[in-house]
Amino acid sequence: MLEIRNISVQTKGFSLKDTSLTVQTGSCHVIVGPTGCGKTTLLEAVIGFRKIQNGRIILDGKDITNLPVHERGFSYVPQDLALFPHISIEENIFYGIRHSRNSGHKERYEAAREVAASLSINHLLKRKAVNLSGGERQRVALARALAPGHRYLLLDEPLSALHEGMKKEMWFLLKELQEKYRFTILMVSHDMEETFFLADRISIMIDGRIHQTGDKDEIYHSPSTRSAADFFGIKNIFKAEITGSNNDSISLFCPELAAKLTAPHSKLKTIEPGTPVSVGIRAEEVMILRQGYMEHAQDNALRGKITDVIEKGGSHTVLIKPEGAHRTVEIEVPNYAFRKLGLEKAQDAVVALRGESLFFVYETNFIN
Amino acid sequence: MTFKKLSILFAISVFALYAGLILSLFYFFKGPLFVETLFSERTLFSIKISLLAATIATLLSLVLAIPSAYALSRFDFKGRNIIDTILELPMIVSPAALGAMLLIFFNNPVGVWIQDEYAQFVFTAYGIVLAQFVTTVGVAARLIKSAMDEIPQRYEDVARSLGASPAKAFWTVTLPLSKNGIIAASVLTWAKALGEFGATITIAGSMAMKTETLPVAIFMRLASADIDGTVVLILLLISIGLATLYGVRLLMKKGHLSA
Repeated sequence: MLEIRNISVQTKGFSLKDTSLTVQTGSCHVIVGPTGCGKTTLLEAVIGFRKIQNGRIILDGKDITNLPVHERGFSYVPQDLALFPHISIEENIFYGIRHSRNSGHKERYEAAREVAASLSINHLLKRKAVNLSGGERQRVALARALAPGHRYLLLDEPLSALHEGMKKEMWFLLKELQEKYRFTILMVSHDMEETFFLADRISIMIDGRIHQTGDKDEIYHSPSTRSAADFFGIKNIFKAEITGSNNDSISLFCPELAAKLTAPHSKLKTIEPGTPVSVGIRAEEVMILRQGYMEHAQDNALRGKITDVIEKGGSHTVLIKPEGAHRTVEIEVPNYAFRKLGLEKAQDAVVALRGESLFFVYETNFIN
Repeated sequence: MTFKKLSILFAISVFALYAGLILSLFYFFKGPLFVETLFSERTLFSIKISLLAATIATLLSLVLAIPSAYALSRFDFKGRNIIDTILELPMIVSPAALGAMLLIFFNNPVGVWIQDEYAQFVFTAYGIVLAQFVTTVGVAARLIKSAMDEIPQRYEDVARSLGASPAKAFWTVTLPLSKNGIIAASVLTWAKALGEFGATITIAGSMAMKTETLPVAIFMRLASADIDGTVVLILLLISIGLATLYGVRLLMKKGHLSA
């Protein structure tokens, strides 16, 4: 287990503040955030490239805060891969075995050859890095990182330069390798699909602070801060006021939608009537209903008018303005549903903001 | 005239300037005298001491310049900017002034002690090496630093994450990747040392068969109005210098010296 405890890093014009994180052994933990949020700085501090001002880094119970990089036992794949151009692919892969303190172990060379075979790069071993394609370079970088047998693999957006097809192929490969060799991954990414495909746990980092850490479902469906929701591109965030509660549900009034909403009691920890909150829902979680059909069976059903329809290839974004509302609700409608419902601009429609799909966000502060 | 043609014209004009100067030497060139001067004991000594001193001075410069260049390229430390600036001292101070500074140094108590206890530098062959070393080490460090600046730090980072110590990462990654830059810097350092005159004559003097390098010999012949002999030695110095530079360039082009 890797524990990052309250570390702070100061660089020119940027600071990482009091950051804590726990990466469970054998898991894939992805730190996701916008460009320049500090995720690479955090990763580099963990590896030892950057000096930390305070805090501790604990690896499997051992304090490694002051250990030099080469004694920490992290394998690292940077964004640009940094394959050594002056030596062959084979020498690249064996570099960590040959030049580390554990050099000369025959079984490690055998294991490295097995890793190379798993990555289907045996035919490249005598070549140099400059002659490889993007996908081949990724595989070699992974093989080089795994060859020394380190149990922690730290990845800094290593797949960002690949095209979509190749990227997906590498995701599957990474999963297979992790399954086979049982290593732990700490990765930084700004790619949502990649994050949710690979991660067991996710941390959202914005402006040098971790806003939320949780499993995929929690992060996807319940971003806890406004900034995190903004990062995910969630537009359906509305100011609301708690009007009442009972053991099962909370009642809210949302002036921006001119609507009363209800949500399960478990969605909000502190419930004080009159408390201003912000409530949100992902566009793909909003249901759009035919007029009169199942309308009364759904909670938080709102009548309104379609103000815009945007075709996006695999789906449509539909904007609906509920009656009396100041703002529109964004809905993601798959193509087949869109065709079936026959939605058009200026048409009357009913949307349901199901209580189970609602989440509450903190406006500015963060949760560590 | 296109911009491309104009720029090529400038390149040709630089070549024409130097080629014209070299060609003008042949006005005073005499074949039999060339052979006689070339194979005279005094000239052969000058060639030998020039090549030997330039090679030793270059090696000494590299020993100091490579780690210095690495430190300046990779680390942020107190005084870094001052050190970086002082590397250019040989460029802003004339070689004669550098030689005079060395002469003054060996006349102060520390310099006298060094000369008494270790080696005589003033008016000896050691003085030639020292003069060439002092005038080239800063330039060598600057050239090698530029080569190392071009090598991303990321390579070393990855090497260290794979278990290599900082020193091993330097020897196995940064140094081999800087090879071409170091070779280029070595050749230029050697050429500069070979042609060094001002500092050499100031500290080592101009004693025939003792401290008379090729540039010093050229000056001595010119001072005694021996134009024909001067021309022979200039042609000799140009031939040695250009042949070395061109040879190294050819080897690099053919890949024998590439990384």
